[in-house]
Amino acid sequence: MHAWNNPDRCTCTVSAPFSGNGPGLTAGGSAARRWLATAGFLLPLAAQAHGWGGGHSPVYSGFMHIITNPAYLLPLAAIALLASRGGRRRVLLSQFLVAAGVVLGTGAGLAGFVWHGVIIANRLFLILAGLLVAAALPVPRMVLPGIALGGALLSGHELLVTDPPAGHAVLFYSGAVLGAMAAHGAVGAVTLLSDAPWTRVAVRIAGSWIAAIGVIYAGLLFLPGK
Amino acid sequence: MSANRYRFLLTLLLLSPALAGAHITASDLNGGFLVGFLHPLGGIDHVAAMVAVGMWGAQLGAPALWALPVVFPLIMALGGAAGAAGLPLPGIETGIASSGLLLGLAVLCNVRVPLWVAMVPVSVFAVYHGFAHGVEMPAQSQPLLYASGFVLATGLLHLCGIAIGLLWRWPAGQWVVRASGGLVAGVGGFLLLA
Repeated sequence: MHAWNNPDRCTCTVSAPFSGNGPGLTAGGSAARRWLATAGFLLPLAAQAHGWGGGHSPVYSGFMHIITNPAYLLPLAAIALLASRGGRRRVLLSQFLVAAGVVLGTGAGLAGFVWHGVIIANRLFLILAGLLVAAALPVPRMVLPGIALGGALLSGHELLVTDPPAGHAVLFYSGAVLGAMAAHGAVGAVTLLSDAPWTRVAVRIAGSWIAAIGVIYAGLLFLPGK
Repeated sequence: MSANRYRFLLTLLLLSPALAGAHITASDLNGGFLVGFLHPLGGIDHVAAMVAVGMWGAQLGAPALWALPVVFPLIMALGGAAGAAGLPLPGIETGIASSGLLLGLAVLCNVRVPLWVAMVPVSVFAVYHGFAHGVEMPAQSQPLLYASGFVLATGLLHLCGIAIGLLWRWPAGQWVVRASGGLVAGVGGFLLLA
């Protein structure tokens, strides 16, 4: 007999409801899951920020580089917003193309091809993609995959040029690919959640914000000053 | 998962003592995103004008409802880049104060003009507001984070204005919108004279 089926032996109030077909999957299970979630959230040392600094987690490092830096995050968000206009299938296709693009962009660098003009190219892509979203211009079906692949390639290559990996390069860039997929997937999923008219307006406004950020940064790259 | 459970988990998450400071460090927040985000919110001149843009767009209805908040950040970005690059633009404070006064009056008087006519003053004022943000960008900040911050804050102020402006559909709401426009115009006029 398992411990959770034996009230004399079971001293744990948490593990029993997680026993698959154990007795506590209804009300007791819900309470236990809630208790566990509470315990998990209240753990004082849950987050290891900057864990990559010690080389402990290159995957985590690559993941966080992508999703916390607007230089990589915003182009991916713009691609997702563009793809979402074509529906769920387009977002799914774009999801895989984004992953392939980051792999190509980082892989090219690892193979010895490093292009420092990628920073300017990535800002120009940011403006272009943002404007396409803001203006809701029709993008031909055959062009969208190219935009997704090209944009992700630029982001991946910029990551390689500007942020050298801390730790094992392959693990770091694997994390970056996962981060790109997570960022793109999250934006695409949120956009697809609603068919309401305001969603289309919100997407356009988000596109204008992305383009605006790109304009400012590109301007600072081209113009002297700060 | 029920809505109550989502609510419960969200509450716990908010109460969680451990924060992930991954990659964006305290200095980035101090000199980058946070400074940029707070810049439009920290000045009544910016707040009044941004809210007025949203209110006027809502008053005019579609397509101005979304076109003005879409165009404003784009034009503002050009001004921001010019300001950060150190290009000259005379009369910045006058232009910003005038934006509050004129946009507030437009809301107060329910000025109805074609979209392209509405775009002209809004674009001109956007340059001034963006220029001010760009000029005051801290030299040590990351431009991309700073720009993300002030573009986001500006957009949120527009949304606040739109939310107020949508009251226009009710008779009592029209008075609220007009009064808000009057308040904005008053702020702009005061700043213009000050």
